[in-house]
Amino acid sequence: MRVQLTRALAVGLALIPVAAHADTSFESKIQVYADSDHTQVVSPTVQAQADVTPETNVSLGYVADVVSSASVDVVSQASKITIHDTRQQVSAGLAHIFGSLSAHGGYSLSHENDYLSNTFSVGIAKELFEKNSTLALGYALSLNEVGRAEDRNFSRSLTVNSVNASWTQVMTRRLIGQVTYELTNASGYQASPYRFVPVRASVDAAPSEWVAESDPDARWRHAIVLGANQAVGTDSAVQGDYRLYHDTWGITSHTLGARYFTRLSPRLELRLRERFYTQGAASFYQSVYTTTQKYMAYDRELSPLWSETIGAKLSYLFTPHFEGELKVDLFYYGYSDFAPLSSRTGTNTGIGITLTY
Amino acid sequence: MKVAGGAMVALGLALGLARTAAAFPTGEQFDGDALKSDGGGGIPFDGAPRWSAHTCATCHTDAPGQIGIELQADRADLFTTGWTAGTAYHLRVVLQNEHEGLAAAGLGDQCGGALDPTAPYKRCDYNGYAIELDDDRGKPVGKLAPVVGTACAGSGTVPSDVDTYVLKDGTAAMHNGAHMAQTHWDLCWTAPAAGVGVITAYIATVDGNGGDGTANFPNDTVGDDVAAGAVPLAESGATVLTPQTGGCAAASDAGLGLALAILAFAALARGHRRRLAIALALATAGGCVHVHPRERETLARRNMKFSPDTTEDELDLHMQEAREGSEGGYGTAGGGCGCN
Repeated sequence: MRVQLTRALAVGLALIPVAAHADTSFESKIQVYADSDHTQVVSPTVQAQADVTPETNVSLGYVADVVSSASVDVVSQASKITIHDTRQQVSAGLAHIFGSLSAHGGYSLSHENDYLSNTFSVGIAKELFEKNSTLALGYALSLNEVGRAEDRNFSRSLTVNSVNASWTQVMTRRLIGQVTYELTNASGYQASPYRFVPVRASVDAAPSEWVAESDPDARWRHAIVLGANQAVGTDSAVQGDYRLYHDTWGITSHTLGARYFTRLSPRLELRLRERFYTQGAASFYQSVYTTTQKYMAYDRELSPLWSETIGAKLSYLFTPHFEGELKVDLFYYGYSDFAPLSSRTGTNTGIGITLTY
Repeated sequence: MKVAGGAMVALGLALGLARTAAAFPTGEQFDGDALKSDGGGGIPFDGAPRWSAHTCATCHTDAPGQIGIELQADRADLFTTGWTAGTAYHLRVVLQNEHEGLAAAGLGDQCGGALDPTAPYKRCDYNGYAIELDDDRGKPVGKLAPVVGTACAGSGTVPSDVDTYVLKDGTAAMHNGAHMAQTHWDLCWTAPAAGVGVITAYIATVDGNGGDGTANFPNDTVGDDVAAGAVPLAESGATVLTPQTGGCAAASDAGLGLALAILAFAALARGHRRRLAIALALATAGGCVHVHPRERETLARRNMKFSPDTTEDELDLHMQEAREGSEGGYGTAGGGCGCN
């Protein structure tokens, strides 16, 4: 009988769900980014949320990016140094449920020595058709002040407005789909105050002059995302999404993402992920500027590029209320038309804990 | 609990097979750590979606399924017009057709070694139950409490022999384990604030056989009967429960869905984007896709959420948006330059 009892308890443990109730939770994670372009970013984050009433949830968050970089962005500007910078962001959110309608609002403040960002966001979600469908609408306003280190006279502003709408649809008992559209308008300074563009006859020629990077002040971004989550087997799931993006700077991009979740043991969950991204160049981007032009960019993010990311994450449930996780992502970026850099590889690793009640 | 006899409303549940005694003979054991104290780790095993619908049958295997469950309340309107916000209901969970451990039922609490530890052990009739009441998102709602006398237990000291034990986190209730041969248990449930909508009571019971009949194993998971079921409770004054008959939803939202479908088609069909128009029209006619709340156990899992880890997503998005020319569509990535 003792053997039978022990076996029965083991079965009970095997059925402990990986996801504990998460309305009141505390998360602490640290993520470390490192690439072959001599950039390291350490990002510790702390997030907490709690149900203050059955219908009201409040959240607070803190995240920092501790950056150390000697990338081509830095060394190509004739200042072969390693820069060190820290971005800190605090955020707060409030969500309330009104029957089948829920509303949320949030604010975040991000600060670094040459950049200040205030972001406000609001959103509503309405459940329809006996909660088989959810329509969500959101709006965000970001007010940014761009500075330049050791140059107190340099100050520019950037205002970003974005609206988004999503429709989430239960398709079957094991399949759920979602379509999201987001429209963003950025108005103001969008270049880098540290980048200067060489004017030269060819890629190999010596620059005749360096001109401050200049991007258009206005940018409209359109992004539409189609996603689907399909349950597989008893505890596994496959998620896939595709994003089509286009903006008024002429960039069109395609993003494909896939995730596979499976449980290796009653307490151990494995997530595998893959992400492919490709984009064309901005209309004013040139790998070589032979003459001075109105808009000039020396920005690899505006050049044609593609990237591939693969990764794995393990989540272990120590108790129904305490979970730990470990993740590793490997990525590759290829630049076909950016002279200073043809590619970069790197890792994005992270470790974290989550307490839920 | 004293329940007004005539006013008690019973809702029977048709339930299946079973057999064993309660592996968790006391309610406190449900709160115990699974590894350190052979506890339930806070899981009530009542069949609720948040626990992947696991019931007593998770451990009490090979049950013959001859018992049934009945949920009763002191207010008839709970099962007719629905629950009313802030109202305290006296509920009773009844185990029907008990057949295991009946030989020991007559002993009541005078079993085991209760009277004389030196006398031969007498088998006990251990039975148990568990219940929680969840909204349609699977979140426990309202407040559970034992019944003391005829009233709901307040903040004062609760007698040790009440019928019901409430989990430390307040999300579920189960047998206290103070008495043997019980086939019904009383508890209080105070309904939440208005607007929650349909609430489902998830209930499971065990008809225990008293273990192997010795003091070594007074209760185990072998030879018992179990049953589990769910009772939907409408909110008083809210939309009447839609009959769970499947097919296309005829809810009030259907009109909105049809309007959205027509608008989407009309806006786009004029141009050259008819395929997109048709796709959008089909999507907005989502009222015809009808998966009932009770069928969404799989969909409620974390790995079926589009953003199962928003904190990680925000960190990743911030990194990606700083290194690519695109952004948008996946949520917020926080502020700041991300220039490196």
